[in-house]
Amino acid sequence: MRRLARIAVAVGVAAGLAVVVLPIARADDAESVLERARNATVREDFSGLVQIEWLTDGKWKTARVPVNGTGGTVQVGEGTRQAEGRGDERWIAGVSGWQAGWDEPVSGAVPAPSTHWDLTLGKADPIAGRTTVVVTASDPDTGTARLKVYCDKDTGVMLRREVLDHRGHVVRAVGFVEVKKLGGSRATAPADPVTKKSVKQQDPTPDKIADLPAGFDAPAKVPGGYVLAGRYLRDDGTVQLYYSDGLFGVSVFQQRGDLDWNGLPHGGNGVQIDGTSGRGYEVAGGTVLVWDRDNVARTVVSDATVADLRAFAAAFDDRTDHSPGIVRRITDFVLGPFGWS
Amino acid sequence: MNREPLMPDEDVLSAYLDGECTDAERAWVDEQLATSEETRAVLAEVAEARDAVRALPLRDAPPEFWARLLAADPQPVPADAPSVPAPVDLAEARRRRSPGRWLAAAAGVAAAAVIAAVILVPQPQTVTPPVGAFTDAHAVRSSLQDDAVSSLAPLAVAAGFRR
Repeated sequence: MRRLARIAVAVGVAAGLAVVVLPIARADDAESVLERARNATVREDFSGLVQIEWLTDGKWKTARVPVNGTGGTVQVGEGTRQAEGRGDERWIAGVSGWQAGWDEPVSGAVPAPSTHWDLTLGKADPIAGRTTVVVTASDPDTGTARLKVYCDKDTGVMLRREVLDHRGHVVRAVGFVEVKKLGGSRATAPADPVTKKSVKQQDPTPDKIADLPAGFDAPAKVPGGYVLAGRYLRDDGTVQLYYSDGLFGVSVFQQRGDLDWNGLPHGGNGVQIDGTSGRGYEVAGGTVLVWDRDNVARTVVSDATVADLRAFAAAFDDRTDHSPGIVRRITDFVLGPFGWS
Repeated sequence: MNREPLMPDEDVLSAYLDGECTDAERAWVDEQLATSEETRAVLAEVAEARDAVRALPLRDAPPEFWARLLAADPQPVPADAPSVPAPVDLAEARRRRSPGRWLAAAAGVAAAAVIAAVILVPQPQTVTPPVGAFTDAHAVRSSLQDDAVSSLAPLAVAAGFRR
């Protein structure tokens, strides 16, 4: 009997360890799959058709673009709507020709996805004829899936990315609907694939900055798990901040001045950001919120949902310094009675 | 017969600071400054107020300010008002000022500051965020630390903003 008891105890301990260790191993595996997918399109040659789907005002919209990867150069789109990337360079084509979009390495590290999300790895249905695995990132508080990333089992290339709302419903997706080539022998790299001459007089690529101009804010962390991964100054004086929680990236654009509401694109919806009125848009490129506060116009862009981006915006505002400068205070004091402040 | 005032007033001291006095006035002010502590104190106040106003940033007045100013009705002139002002003995007039002249001077400075603030203090500028360009800029930045295809693909789609 004592021997049986020992065996039972050993089995129980082993089972307990398995319960504890297996999810950790699966989370690590999931993180590895995500890490592999980040740069798989640089390692692998591919071509196909990608479909972008997004929900706006309760209606689905879709668009398809050809994509191609050769020798580490990624090309999307065609004609006057295309973009190209290789290494740390990004180029965007428009009606007036090519212009540089980025030309320097990024240095700010993004947090590991598992820092803020519960990750699981599982099997998934084939996508465009390819066998896939899926990484599901769930809200650790509610357990609701908020992001699903489908990757090619052989090459690790991300084949589909789905963003889900708080109820677990897909609201945005980018994914291959046709794969013509993926993996196999690699083609020779193009001679000089991104040597393009920018047609713009104004340099559209932002400069990395260490210190912000007066009046702008850049909290190092924003509640929700977001970490500041880069801050940049554009030629027109706009400050761009880039935050990431490991899975979702958020850009914050700050411009000095009050928002010219009449100059904004039509459409969109009114949103409240911590008591401040703003406007939100859901377009192919992501979710956009615009508002102003303390004489600074802010625009945030992400592929996160409107609700998530609104929470980010409110948290960002909470973390920034709202005390007006001395000149502003004097102006308010003097002009207040005239109603001009 | 004009009698010399006891001490230079703020107008003279302001002119003194701006180098707009006559030689005689300048000599008189120098003499007063050398002997009168009160004159030195008043000069310091005038200089401080003058510097404060000059330190305000130069900005355009709001458009409606000039419209209101030009549209304002002029003050009616009393019927019995003389058409030509009578000669004034300035030194006598200065001496007749009430004891509250410092209060009046302070009010004058405050009024000048308000007018200067209305005209000179910056009005909030407005900006129009180029949301389409910002969306592209986000996609580009995002593609550097995430999957390039899913980040860049939306760049190849018309932004979807309506004008």
